[in-house]
Amino acid sequence: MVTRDSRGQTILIMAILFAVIVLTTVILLNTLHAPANVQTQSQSSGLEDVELTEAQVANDMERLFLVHTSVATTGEPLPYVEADGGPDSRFGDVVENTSDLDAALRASESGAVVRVRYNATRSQEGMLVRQNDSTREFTYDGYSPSDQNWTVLDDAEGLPRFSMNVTEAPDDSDSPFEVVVDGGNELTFDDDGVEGAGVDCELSYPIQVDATAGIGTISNETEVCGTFDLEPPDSFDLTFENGSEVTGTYTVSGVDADAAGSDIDSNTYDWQHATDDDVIVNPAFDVQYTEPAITHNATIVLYDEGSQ
Amino acid sequence: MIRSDTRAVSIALNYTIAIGITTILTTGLLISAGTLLESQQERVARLQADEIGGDLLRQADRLDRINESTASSETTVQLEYPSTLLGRSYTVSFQPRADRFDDVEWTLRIDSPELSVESVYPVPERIDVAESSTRGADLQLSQCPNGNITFEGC
Repeated sequence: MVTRDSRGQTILIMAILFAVIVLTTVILLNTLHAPANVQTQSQSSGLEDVELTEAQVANDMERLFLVHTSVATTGEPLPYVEADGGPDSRFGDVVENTSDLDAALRASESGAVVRVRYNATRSQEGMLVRQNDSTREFTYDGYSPSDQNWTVLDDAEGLPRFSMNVTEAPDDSDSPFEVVVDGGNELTFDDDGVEGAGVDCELSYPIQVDATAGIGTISNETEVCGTFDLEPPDSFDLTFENGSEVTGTYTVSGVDADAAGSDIDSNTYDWQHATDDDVIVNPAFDVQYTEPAITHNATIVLYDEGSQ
Repeated sequence: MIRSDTRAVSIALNYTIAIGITTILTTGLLISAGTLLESQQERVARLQADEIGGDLLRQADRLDRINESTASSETTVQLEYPSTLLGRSYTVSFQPRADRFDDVEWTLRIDSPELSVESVYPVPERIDVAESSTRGADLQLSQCPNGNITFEGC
């Protein structure tokens, strides 16, 4: 029985015990921290920006290269192209000027500093063959009319670009037009469409073919049919067979390739049908991306399989 | 006849019983709360390690993708993670496969001996990493020109 005299002591003891319980609980709970936020979003957006920037740079440089080498869709030479020095003579300066303008814009938008420089050492030279008159056949003028096969690239070590727009199909009775890569695959164009190199496309003409490093797509104005792979080996010839059966435009470049016929002039600027020897066919660029948390230095070879 | 007087005993007994019951209840409460909080601590530490590990693998994957899209590249990214797990230091490392992940070549480990936490994550085969480790504070991830991803710079 608790007497009136001892009630105060009991209350005091209970109060002390209660205080001990509260303090102990506070101490234990204090060691349980809520997890600090991991700033994953801002970090991944930083690297994502690097990826996007690099893709944009590659795209910009490709357009610059196509315009500078005057084989863009218009095919018109620009005033600063020096015909006697080849298409690559002032390309480095053009890249640098473009990079300076681009860097200023980018710095004001995102705070990242991006520099792009033309890398002459890693760029690849070779041969560029092109035709921009859609009414002409896929043959070379210097060959005998009876010769249906034209070795476009001889002893090439790479196929940076291969694009064609075949406007007129071979007749049912004609021999099919074939693009043959020695040691690799071939594309066959007949009145039904295109087949070979991993595709079988029944498409109506005109048919577009666009490939980088031998891998590309086949499409027409309304449909993309599929992806083909010419699988060019380390050294190969590329031949147009029965090119007189079709008409259209094309651009083909080969690394370290030669002109097959001695009668093909090098460095000619006949835009109807030109073959340029010893020109830059696959340019390389150094890209430097800097922001407080990220430093990134890369070399992009424009038409490498992995650089697009 | 002398009557027995139990009043003094009653007071002492009252105290003893009250203090005893309170002590037993308090001790039980503290022990159970301590055990619960300890397991919660470990769970929270693992969750935080999981978040860091998952993000590190995402960053490594992105670095690998950036490298794949170029002829050659070197990238370093400073990562802002908590410098401690529940107030204790921790280490992250790329190490050869662990028993649990014997079908992959490399694993990412986050361990904090003081917390008895060791989280292991498999590194996808296509990502090339080099054996390396660093403490949680000031963590940086580098992708070197040879294609390897490391915590120790190129």
